[in-house]
Amino acid sequence: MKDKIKKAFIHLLSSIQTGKLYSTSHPKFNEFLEKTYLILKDILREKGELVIGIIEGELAWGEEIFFNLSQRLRSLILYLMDREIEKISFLSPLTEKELRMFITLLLAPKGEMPPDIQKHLVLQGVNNIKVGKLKGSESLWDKEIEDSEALKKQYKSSVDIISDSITTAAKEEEMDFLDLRFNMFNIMENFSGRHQELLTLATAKEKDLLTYVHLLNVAILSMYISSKLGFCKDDVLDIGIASLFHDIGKIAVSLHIIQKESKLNQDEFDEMKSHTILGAKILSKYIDSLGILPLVVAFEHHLRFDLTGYPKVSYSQKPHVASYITSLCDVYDALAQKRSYKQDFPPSLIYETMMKEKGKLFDPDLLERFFQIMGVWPVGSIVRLDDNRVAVVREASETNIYKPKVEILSPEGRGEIIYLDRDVNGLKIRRALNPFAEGKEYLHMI
Amino acid sequence: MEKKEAFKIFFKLLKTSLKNASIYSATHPAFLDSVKNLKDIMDILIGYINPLTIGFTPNSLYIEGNFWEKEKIHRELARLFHYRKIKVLEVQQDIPLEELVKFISKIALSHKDYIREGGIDSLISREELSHISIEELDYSELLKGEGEEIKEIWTALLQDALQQQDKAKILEFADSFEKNIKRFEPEDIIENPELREAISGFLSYLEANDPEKFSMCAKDLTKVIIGKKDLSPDLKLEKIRSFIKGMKADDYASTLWEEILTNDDFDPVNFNIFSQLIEKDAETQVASSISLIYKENVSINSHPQVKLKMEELLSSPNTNMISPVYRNTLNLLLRDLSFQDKITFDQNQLSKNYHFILLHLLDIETDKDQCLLFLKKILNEGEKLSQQRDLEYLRILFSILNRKKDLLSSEPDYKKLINIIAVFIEKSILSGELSLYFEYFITNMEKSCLDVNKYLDKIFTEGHISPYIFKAYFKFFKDYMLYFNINLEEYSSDVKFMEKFISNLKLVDDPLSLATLKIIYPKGNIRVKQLVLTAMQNLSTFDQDFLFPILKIKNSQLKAEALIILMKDKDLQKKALERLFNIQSPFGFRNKQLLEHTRIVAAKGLRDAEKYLIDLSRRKHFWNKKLREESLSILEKWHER
Repeated sequence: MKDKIKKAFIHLLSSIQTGKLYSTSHPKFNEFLEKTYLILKDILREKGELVIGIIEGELAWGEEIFFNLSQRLRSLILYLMDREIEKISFLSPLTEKELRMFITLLLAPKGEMPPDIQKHLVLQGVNNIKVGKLKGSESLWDKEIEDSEALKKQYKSSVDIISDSITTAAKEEEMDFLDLRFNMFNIMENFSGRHQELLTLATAKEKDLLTYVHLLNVAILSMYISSKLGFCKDDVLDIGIASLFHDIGKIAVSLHIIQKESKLNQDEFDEMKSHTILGAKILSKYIDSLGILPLVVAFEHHLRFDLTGYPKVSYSQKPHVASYITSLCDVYDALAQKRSYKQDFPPSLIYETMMKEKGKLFDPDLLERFFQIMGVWPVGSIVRLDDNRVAVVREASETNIYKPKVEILSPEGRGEIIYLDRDVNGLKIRRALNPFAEGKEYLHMI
Repeated sequence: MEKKEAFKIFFKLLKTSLKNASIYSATHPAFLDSVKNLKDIMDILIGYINPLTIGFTPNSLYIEGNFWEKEKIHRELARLFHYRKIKVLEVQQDIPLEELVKFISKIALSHKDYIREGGIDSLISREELSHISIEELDYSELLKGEGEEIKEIWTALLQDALQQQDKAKILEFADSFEKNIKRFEPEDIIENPELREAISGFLSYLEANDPEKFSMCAKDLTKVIIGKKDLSPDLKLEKIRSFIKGMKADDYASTLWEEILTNDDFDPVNFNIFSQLIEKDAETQVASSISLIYKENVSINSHPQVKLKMEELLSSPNTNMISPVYRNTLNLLLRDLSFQDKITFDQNQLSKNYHFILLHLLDIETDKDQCLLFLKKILNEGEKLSQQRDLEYLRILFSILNRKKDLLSSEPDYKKLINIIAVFIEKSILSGELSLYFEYFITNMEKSCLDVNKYLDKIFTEGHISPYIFKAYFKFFKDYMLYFNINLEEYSSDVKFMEKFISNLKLVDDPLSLATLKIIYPKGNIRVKQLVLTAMQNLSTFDQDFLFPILKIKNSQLKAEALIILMKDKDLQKKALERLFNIQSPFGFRNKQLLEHTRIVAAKGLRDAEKYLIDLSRRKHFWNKKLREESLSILEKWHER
């Protein structure tokens, strides 16, 4: 029975993944749905009812906790928890139609889920599937938990997921591509456009995770920029995954070089530069599952727009747009992280620094477009206006990158929304407040 | 009198009475006479239809279920009553003459005066017209009307509605505002105080009572003003500005954007009028709203036509008429549009870059297993590589493979890849394709991967002839020249084929080309022979034993071409010229031959023969006169140059 339950959930995850990544009319989705249904039907014939719970992030059936299976199905567990589902009961006589409706409902983005999932299911005529919270459980996802705390946990989970993927690739182990893509999809849904907030989520204490945090941020940022540039969902996900692996070659470079804070000598620098080739070599083993884009981006992300940079190649081939996007996001996040961990590096300085590389390191059009999307003061920045009020940036203005939409936080007019680009009084942002220093007291307000 | 006839007369008399009413006073005998006649005919008609009931549409009269509209008089009468808001007129039997006089004289008033007097309702009640009853036309019907009349009465009707503060009527004006305001010229709106005030009052009313309709009508008015290019510079646009100052930035922006999108004639002149109409302070907000509107519907707004329109606007010689704020915004949007064109996820480029990266990885790799891994990946891309037909890529790949020969040549994948490249290149060559890259491949490929017959078929059966085919054949199949020549002999009489063959062969500087040309020569006619000799001039080697005999033949053209080749070598040059000019000619017996040779060197500009011409020019005796003269003449020409 345990094996059947395990299988049922593996198929359920595959159904959700294929439904999410492709569509519910995709043959693969139908195949996994049918497999899930058949095995559930088999279980229900024997037991009449199957109740599965999620306890502290682990799958449980009766007294049994499936630790190993939970590890494998972590993305499903997180996905369900993210939608506040801790318990699923399948009752006999479950129909395939009911299962299809249930999974289709689960495919909706988190923000579009009905507030009462159980009620919604009943209204849809799904009577043999019940969902809800476990009685008396102290779930990590209780409503009482602050949203910011939830975001932090989601982010932490995402860092874990991607660090697993990168470690897997670095060890040249087999990778579950569908699961990775599914996770990237969820990461995109949860964090797209929230780069600034993410900077405050990983703290200096988690230094060992810094590389993964950076990779995750670059991936999130790349997906956001790509989607804003109008790329289709599949391309956006591909760019996200490619960005995630763009620095995988660094794993093969000596740790002391990676972590060295003083200037690298020529040999060390040469070794550091080899990470692009090492990365491409590692990813060449994953062409069948990841495709060619991650390899291309890993190889090209230090090739500059003016065709200098590294690795040195004997032919002139213009880097792919995905490499340019990754390169931009890589530098942007690195500069933004610099502010978090090292010194006060305000967004305006990031803008100025990057603009100096226009037409040199960066494609000028792409760079302009990047800041049109991000604004000089990215969404989530805590800023002081020139009337001395403190505000948070809520939306970039594509017509005036210096004048976003802001929400006042303090001292008066809290909640007031001002479109600075249309403000008749010419109100401006004077400067950004470092969220780790003077801006810290306002963090809870955003 | 028949009813139909009676109606005809009635229409005529009604028109006359109305005309007289507009000319004469109500007591004038001419007018009174006409109304009396009208009454008489009406009495007859009432005998048929009691009460006499007439309906009016904008263009026809409606009586007893029939429309009267064919004749001009029907339409004129219909319009006159329609625009006096009369839908149905009913006249009772025994209507007194005075009552009819009052009615006619009021109906004949101008639109303005008619409405000023309160229209038909107040006329009937005030004048106690008990035999006349009217069904009034509602506003919406009236405002839907066409023609100049509506323009005439529109202002008066609007004033009337405003005066009465009749919300329903005013809203009907709002609904038909777009259609009706277009009938006016901006000059009318600005210069005609009554119209201006009516519109101003109307917009103020809407602004206070129905902001949505205000926004709609203000946009319509703005479009009328900015749509007119030849506005007089003296026109006071600020008079309009005050009407629409309540418009929001979004309204201004959407008005402008709609005009840009939909009005083909919209140009910087119109833009300039728009700028004048909008308060300077609002420009930034309007520009910002334009961007938002654009972004809200990028898929539609990024249509190539929109891009074209914006490019036209920004490249027009009058662009400086557009305020810098808008110009900047449009430039940004245009750049956005251009950018969208440019930024694409190019799968072709991706696979191309991937292929080059694999090359690089293979090139720098020293480990055999790793090399084999990359070789495998390149092999997997074989199909795409062929599709891309990137010869530069293949050249680099081939050179890398050559460099890695010692390490990899025993590996099946290596052989396979070399074979794929060779087959691709050879097939391209055999198809007659031309590329300088082929030179590299032919030089560096060790052997052909195709059968010799494939080459022979392509050359001789299919006629795919190019210098590269010959080069490849000579390189890979030099031991098979016999078969080549056998095929060649079969075609030697095909002049067209031979012309093509020789003209390509002469581009291949190879001893085998010379040998082939020598084979062609004896089989060909004079034309082919000449082509062979011309082709030989292109080659770096030649065969004197083949050429000297040609100097002896009678054909001076062939002799000339052979001589040109021999002249390349100093020793042979002397030998050849001596053979041509050291001819004994006692008494000028062989002067004809000498003259022929003189002409050959002259025609071909072979100045190395100067010495021989000088000798000829100095020959004495009268029989050498012609020889002397021609030689001298050639020498003079050479010296002149």
